[in-house]
Amino acid sequence: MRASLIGCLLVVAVVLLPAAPAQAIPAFARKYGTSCQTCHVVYPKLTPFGEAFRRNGFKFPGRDEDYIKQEMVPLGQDAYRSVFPNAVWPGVVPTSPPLALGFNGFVGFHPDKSSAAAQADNGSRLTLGSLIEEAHLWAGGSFSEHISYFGELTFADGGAEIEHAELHFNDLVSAQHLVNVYVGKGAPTLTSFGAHSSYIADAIMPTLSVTALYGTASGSFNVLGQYNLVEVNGMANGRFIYSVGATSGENIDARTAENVHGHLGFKLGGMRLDGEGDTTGNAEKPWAETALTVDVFGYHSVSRYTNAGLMMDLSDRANVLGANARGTGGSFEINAGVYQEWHDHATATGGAVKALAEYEELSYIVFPWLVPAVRLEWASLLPDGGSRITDLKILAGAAALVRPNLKLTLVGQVEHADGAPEGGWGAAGGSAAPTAASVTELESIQLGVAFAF
Amino acid sequence: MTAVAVTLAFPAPARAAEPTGTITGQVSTKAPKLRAGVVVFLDKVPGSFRPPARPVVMDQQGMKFAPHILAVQKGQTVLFNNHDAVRHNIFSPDNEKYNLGTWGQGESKPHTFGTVGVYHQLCNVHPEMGAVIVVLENPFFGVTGEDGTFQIPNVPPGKYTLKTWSEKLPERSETVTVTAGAPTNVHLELVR
Repeated sequence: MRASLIGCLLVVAVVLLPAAPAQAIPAFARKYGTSCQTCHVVYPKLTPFGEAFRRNGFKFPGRDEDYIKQEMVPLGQDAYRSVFPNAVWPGVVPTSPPLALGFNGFVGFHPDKSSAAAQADNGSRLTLGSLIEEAHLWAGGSFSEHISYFGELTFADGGAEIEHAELHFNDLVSAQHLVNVYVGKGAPTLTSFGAHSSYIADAIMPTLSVTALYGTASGSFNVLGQYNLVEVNGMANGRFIYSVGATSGENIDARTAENVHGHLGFKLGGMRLDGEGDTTGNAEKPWAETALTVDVFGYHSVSRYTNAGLMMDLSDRANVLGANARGTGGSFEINAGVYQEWHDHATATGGAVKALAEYEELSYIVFPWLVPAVRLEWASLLPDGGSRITDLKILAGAAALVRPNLKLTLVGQVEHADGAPEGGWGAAGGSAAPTAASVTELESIQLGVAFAF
Repeated sequence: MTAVAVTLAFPAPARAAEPTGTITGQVSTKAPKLRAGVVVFLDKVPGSFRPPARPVVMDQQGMKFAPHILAVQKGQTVLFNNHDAVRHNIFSPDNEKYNLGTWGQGESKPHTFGTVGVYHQLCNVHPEMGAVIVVLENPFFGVTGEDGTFQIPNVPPGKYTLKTWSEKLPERSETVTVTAGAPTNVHLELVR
């Protein structure tokens, strides 16, 4: 079935899909006086160096201060460290606010007016209503050698949301990068790569909000969710990476924090995970390397939500196990991953369910500004005592830079669903709503636009 | 921009009648901004050297110390001037650990350095202000300019150990041989 759908899509192959929200941080470009291309291919996708910068708590490998070109105002000379506690520990602020703005949205086209996605848009063929859909205000920088920060406010029709308000306390032991503490609001670290490491989708791992799939209108836990958290993470020998932490989770009222997560990974070949050592790499193709990275993660969550079927509040306990892998060979890259969730009270009748999410994304950097990619996302729900229902999405498209900070994407999405949960597949990124046993539809072709400055 | 004096002392020849040589050179660093303000000096030169009688000046002007890096000889006096309309303080938590007090525009305070070492200069009224005074045993030193070049004049002929001090980078040591009447060229690469 999947093979035939891929073939079908390749025929459709106008290739290009929807624009992911911009995640580049021009504030860092200003701080270091460097181009977006130092860290990004087509943003928000990061180069190996950019990933190392992110993992290091938004700091360059080696001595970060050597690379800062923006003039900084010292909030106390370094020598005040020797006077502490009789003086405030010194820090710095940049001479201009460490802020950046970005906007993104898309033009939607529904070739099939009867598709579920077209029906959701009132049967429209072409929609311009989401051309600019989101605005982002980012902040990024460092308070001192060991403390950095990253923030993101996202504005959309629904209002404003704090997506990230992160403090990173870096290099807390003498071995560089071994022990860091990350606190604030953000996504827990479940892989070695940035959450938005996709050319044609919003996130590298597909979302799966199980209680929302079963219709809850209250918040629904998912492993990509941004929560208040405390996390210890680090890297050893530049090849091994770990994280362990606790998050506030998703609750409709105040609850004891019971959500915990952990992650282990390693990288063979290519640039070290921390970017230390020889970072020369391929001077002409800074994204190119021969490497394999494998990650496993676990997540335990207890969330309080309003069950749509029972019209009452329930506690849903979820245990999640997952794995991700990235293989890179020159300009080719393949990402794949899977995670399974075991919920005890998530269905519309308050029952248990096993949920599975799987993805693969293959991309090739044709030019530094043009990257075609194909992506598969598969979601499955198997309720206790019930039948399995599934949703397969195939995205094909390309991301292109008009300028380093102006991006276009063109992405087509085909979807095949065998059944649908009470809340539809929207909470897994799908649109299909089969009235019969199954349906296959070309849902949309989206021309995305994103820019940041 | 880091203010530094290219060469802050022009030592008198140890023995005025004897011919001397000059050490010139270039300090290179991976980060270009670290080339400036590196103190390059001769370590453990035999003999005793009388410090210059004239004090050198470190200004507080525009809410900054100028120069940011100053090298002086042990026993030399530094005159701290305040050119700002606001009051400034001078203190150092290092070695002699002095606090010269707080004073207003147009006033100066001297301090004579009796101990070799690195002295961070701080103003407790304005924590963002800072400078470093490096006190050395002998008059044979120079401080690199923005381009990383330095010059140490009036060096008696001989074989010496040339060392560096940098605010951010580890020390580098190298042997140099100075001949009378000819410049000795040195390239020093500083790495972490």
